[in-house]
Amino acid sequence: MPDANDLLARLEREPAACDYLVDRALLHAGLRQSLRRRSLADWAVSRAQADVLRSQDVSVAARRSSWRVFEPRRSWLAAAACLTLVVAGWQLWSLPYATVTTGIGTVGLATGRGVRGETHELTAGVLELKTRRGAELVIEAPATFRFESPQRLRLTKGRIAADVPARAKGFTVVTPSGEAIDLGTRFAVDVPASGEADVHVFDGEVVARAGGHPPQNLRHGEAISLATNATRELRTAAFIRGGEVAELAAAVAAGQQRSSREAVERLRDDPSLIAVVDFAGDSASGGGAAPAAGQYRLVQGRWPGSQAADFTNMGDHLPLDVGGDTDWPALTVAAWVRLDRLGAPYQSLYHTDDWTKQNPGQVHWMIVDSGVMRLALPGWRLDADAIERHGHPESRTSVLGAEGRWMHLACVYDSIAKTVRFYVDGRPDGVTMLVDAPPARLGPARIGNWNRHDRKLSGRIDELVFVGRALSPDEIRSLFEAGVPYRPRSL
Amino acid sequence: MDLEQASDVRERLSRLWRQAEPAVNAYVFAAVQRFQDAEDVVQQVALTAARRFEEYDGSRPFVAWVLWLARSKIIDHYRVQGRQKLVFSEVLLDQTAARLVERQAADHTGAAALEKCIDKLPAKSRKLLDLRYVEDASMEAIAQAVDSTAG
Repeated sequence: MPDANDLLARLEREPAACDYLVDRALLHAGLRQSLRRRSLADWAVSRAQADVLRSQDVSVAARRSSWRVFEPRRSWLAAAACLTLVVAGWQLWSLPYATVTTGIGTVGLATGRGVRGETHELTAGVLELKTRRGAELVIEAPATFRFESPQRLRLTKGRIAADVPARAKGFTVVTPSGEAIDLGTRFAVDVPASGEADVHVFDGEVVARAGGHPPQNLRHGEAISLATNATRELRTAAFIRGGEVAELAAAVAAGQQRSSREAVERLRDDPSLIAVVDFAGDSASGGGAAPAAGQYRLVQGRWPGSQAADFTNMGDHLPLDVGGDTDWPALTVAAWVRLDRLGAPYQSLYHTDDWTKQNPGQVHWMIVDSGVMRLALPGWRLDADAIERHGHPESRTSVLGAEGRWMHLACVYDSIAKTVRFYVDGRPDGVTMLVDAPPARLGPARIGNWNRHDRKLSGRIDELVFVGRALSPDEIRSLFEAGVPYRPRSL
Repeated sequence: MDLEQASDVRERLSRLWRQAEPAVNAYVFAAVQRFQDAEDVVQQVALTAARRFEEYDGSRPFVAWVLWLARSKIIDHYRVQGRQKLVFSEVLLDQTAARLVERQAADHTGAAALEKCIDKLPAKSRKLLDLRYVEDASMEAIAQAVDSTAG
């Protein structure tokens, strides 16, 4: 083949030559396939033709090859190859797409169970899965999901956080409103019951394909609504991530869910209790506190199957009317929260509606932009030595962690002792001395967005407690220890 | 469910393979000279595609993926068959694969058209094609057959 190298060089160099090659190759391959198929159908005819050719003194070489095609040995080889294909395929297809690495309170999806293309309805709990290619997924109930392949998960409802290593690059979460395709990253998708999903990218890059919109690349720290293609604020706290799962599982295994329930029961027996809002069932229980219809989502709380109120958008709120028409010389407010670290000026935890300068004692409890917790009551005056510059008692440390985990926040107001004490995760954080200290007043109020546009709340509130006395540091610590959803830490 | 799911996957793979097969054949037949060698290579590509089907990213064209598998099988074949004279460079392999992917996306009527053309062939031409494509006859043998039938 003297000109072979010239030919190859020309094929490389000239696009038209390569096009010609592709045309010829397609024809060549098409002819082979079509003619052989036809000849198999007409085997007898084909053999007769071969006989005719043989009788017409066609070369021996041609005859041999004609027989080679239909030789029984070759058929056996072909059959063996097919069988190998089937066996290899069967082994592949019988492997699970993903395996449950941790199941917290998940019915029927215990640790070690393989998951394939079936639909799963997760009514309670948290599920951690590892896909065949090593992507680590955390799905939180309530959720409905189904793997379409080891690299493709359809999430109809629920929240998923994915940690995708390089070899699982391309892992895709499909939602009713669009899909998120991983390009090597940590990301999360929230699909509420309405199906209007959000994609949040914690690390790396994701291609978000919102229905009807061109694909969009999202990078570290970016979030988008797949329903509207609009930019969203990054909600780290909305998702349980890999590192958190083991601690949550250890706490459930250690019986924390029961100890938490018992602590709440003890609190209900406390004659000073004003209300426990635990979002269980249709209405919150305790002290006649029944949240009216607001604008929020009921999502899973700290425990498998428990409920918490979730706030996302600017106007989200939950109306609450407890402890009205009473002066409270001492008041303890505490809650389990899971908050996003947002730059917005204020995150409203609890705001009474009648808060004005002319209405002393009305309670506002919030987190300000620096991340510290603030209690603001009209009519009080801070001690001249107070370090707060805005005239309201504040915690010393930020309560917004980077990862948005569950935290226990508490403030204890004592108008007789003229003190406000803050507690974070059961630990005393700081005390602010007051000069003027009116009794606290509650009544109609809101959790979440208040009636101003600079207030919002992004995150969940679980178990909000109001007690009409100043709980001691030991009582606050016990409350935390009994209710902490992580493996108890030594304090 | 597992059986049902496995059969879904099998069905999906076989559908995708059927669609991609002409391109894979063309690719391998262009780069590997002898039919039987080429068919062995195609067979290996099919086997690899089935074994590694889980790795296939459904958002990308299947044909691009199998041609990528075929590329390495062709190179393996070159390595084993050290004597082969007509060896495609990796650049040419890539160019050819890229064109086949484009062609696959643009045209689905080629196979049907080819069938019609074969149907319309005169018996003698068809016999020649069969000699070449079914019987693997050498060019010399075909020439002789042409002579003998012509005479």
